[in-house]
Amino acid sequence: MEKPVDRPMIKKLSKIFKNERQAPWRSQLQWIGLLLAGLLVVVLVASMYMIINTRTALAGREISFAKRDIINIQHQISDLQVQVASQLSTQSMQARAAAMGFVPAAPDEFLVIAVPGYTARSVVNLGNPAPLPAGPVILPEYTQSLFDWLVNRGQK
Amino acid sequence: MNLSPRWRYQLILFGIGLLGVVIIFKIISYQTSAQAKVLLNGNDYNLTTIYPPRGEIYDRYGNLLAGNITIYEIGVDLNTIRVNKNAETIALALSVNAGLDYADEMKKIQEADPSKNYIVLKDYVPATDAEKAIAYKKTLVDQGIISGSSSLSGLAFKAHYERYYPEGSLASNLLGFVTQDNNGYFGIEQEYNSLLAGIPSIVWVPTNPTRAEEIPQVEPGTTLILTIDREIQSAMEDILADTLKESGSASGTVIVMNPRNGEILAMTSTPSLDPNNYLAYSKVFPESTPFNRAIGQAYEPGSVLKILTMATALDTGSVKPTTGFLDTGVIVVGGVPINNWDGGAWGSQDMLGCIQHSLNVCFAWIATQIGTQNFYAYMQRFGLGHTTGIDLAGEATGRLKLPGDSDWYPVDLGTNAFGQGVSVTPIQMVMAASAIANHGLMVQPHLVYATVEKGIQQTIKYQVAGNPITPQTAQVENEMLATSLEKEASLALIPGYRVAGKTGTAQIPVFGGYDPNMTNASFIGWGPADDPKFMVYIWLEKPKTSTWSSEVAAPVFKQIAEKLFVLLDIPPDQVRLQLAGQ
Repeated sequence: MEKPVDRPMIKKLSKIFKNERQAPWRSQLQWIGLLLAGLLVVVLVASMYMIINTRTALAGREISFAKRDIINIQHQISDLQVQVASQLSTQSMQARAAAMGFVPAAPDEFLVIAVPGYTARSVVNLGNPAPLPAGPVILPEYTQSLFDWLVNRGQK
Repeated sequence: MNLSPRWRYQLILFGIGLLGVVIIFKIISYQTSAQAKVLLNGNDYNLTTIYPPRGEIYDRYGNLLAGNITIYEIGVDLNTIRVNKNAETIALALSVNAGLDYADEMKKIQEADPSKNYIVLKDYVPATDAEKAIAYKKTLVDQGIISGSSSLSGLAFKAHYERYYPEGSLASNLLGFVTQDNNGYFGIEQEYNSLLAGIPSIVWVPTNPTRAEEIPQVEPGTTLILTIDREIQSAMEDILADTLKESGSASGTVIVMNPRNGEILAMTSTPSLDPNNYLAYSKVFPESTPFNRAIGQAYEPGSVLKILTMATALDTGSVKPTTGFLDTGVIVVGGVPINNWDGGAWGSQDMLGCIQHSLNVCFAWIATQIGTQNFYAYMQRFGLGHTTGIDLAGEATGRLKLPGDSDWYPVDLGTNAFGQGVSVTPIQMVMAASAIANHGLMVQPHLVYATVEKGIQQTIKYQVAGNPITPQTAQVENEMLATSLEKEASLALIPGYRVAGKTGTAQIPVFGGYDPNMTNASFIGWGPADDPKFMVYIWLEKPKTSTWSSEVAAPVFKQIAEKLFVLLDIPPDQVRLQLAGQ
């Protein structure tokens, strides 16, 4: 048994096609708009991706350059330290002192004076003192009772 | 051509669609390209070894003794050179600016292995030379010459460190040196090589810039602060150089140590080398010349060893300072007659006289009173025959023959008592004598005061190497040694200060006996006698102006001690005791 044909629906569709034929550019504009909207979304997503990727790459490059700069500065510090040390070396200082007319003092030329509060030079300190070794730590979880724990939680 | 509006729209639609497709295609092609895959997967890495800068070495007051300077490796990227055809330009630029040989560099580039991308033209180029070439390359880049045959494209400069000693040869015998492969040789540089060099890190450095943060930081080597005082070291080297010139000695050694804690304040010996020019090593130290005689050469010390014999005798109760001895000029020990240094008989003496006149016969007798077992037990307790454990590479052991050894004879007991037939290094004698100057406690000599790593300074505590004698024995002998110098009117005495010490003149053993003309002149002394702040050991090898230590080594002690009293801020005894009493 065949399915009965829906006559009103056919009439409705015929009317639409008839309308289209009367103004086909409307439909085309709709399609173009849809495509452009799609393309816009794609371009937006791609642009954002590109921008984020570029920023990441630039940040990475900046980190690389910063690290290179750190290394260069470390080299400069090292070179300058050596230059300063060379200028202040015993040989250099002795030569400079001699050029300025200084001569080593003879033992009988010294005058010993007691200066109150004077302290002798101390050994150089080039870093922080080593931290004291930490003693064994027992977490409160191992020592407190359930009641203590509840009280502590309550206080917190 | 007139197109209907429909076609126009369709054409625009097609054009925009095509543009979209092209954009999407390009995006997809970029994302799926081989380069993108490598970047996305993060697999494109360069294997790079990062060498940390070598730890610096400072003296106790922060003066730099060993640092690092920048030098350059100059290399070329062969692929870039092949594209730009600029090998001649590069070779010419390097020859003009960096002092490299044009023909050599051209040859290296032309004959390079074609499978290689990069070759090193020259390493260890001084910064002054390399930086000229770098500046020239930058000038070309600024002028827009970045490719082509007249560019320096492909020329690479890689900065790295090289050891440098700003004080030149100062303290070189104890510092050692570092070769281009960053290995330390001799002294501190060798002993602490692993600490100073740090840990080189072989890392995969990603070419992907977004992964730049993954490059690890390599910690620099540990910095060392030595116990050395640069001013004292310099003064000792100057005094030793003058002494060698005046006395004509073959070599010389001076050690200055704080007998309270074993800190070496200065240590020098000859010959010495400027470690910046370490390639001259074989010329400066021909054959088996020790790099540092203070620790690396054992010798028969002669009479300076008598202070250990006397300490043993006092400690065992074998003698007292007042014990009498009749010196007839000869004593037979183990069937062999032993004479005094002058061959004479000194008659009735007490122990102070035996020390004052350095009588071999008396000391051989003292050794017999101590007894063989006790004598050698004490010598071992003083550290003879063993290394001191000083933190320097290349320490010699010396030789203390013991009863039972195949080459030990009973006469050795008598001769060992005055420093013959036994060999020690200067540092061994200093360590042993520290027991006398330091209330019976013998301290281990050391050179590293502290290490600095990751900004934390860790001070190294000094070690007590033993207590071979009691504090009472140490005090008695200290007094005897100070008095003997005063009674002898020694050339070692210093006006205003009381010092203790002992000379040592030793014949030099040769095949079949002893050299009749040459001696080793030594002196060990410390001051102030009642509260020693320094201990000095002097050894002059084969002095020519006089063979006697009392004439060549004692005046050197005086000169050194005078300098030390000033540099260590030690006022004359009278002033010091007045200040202490206030």
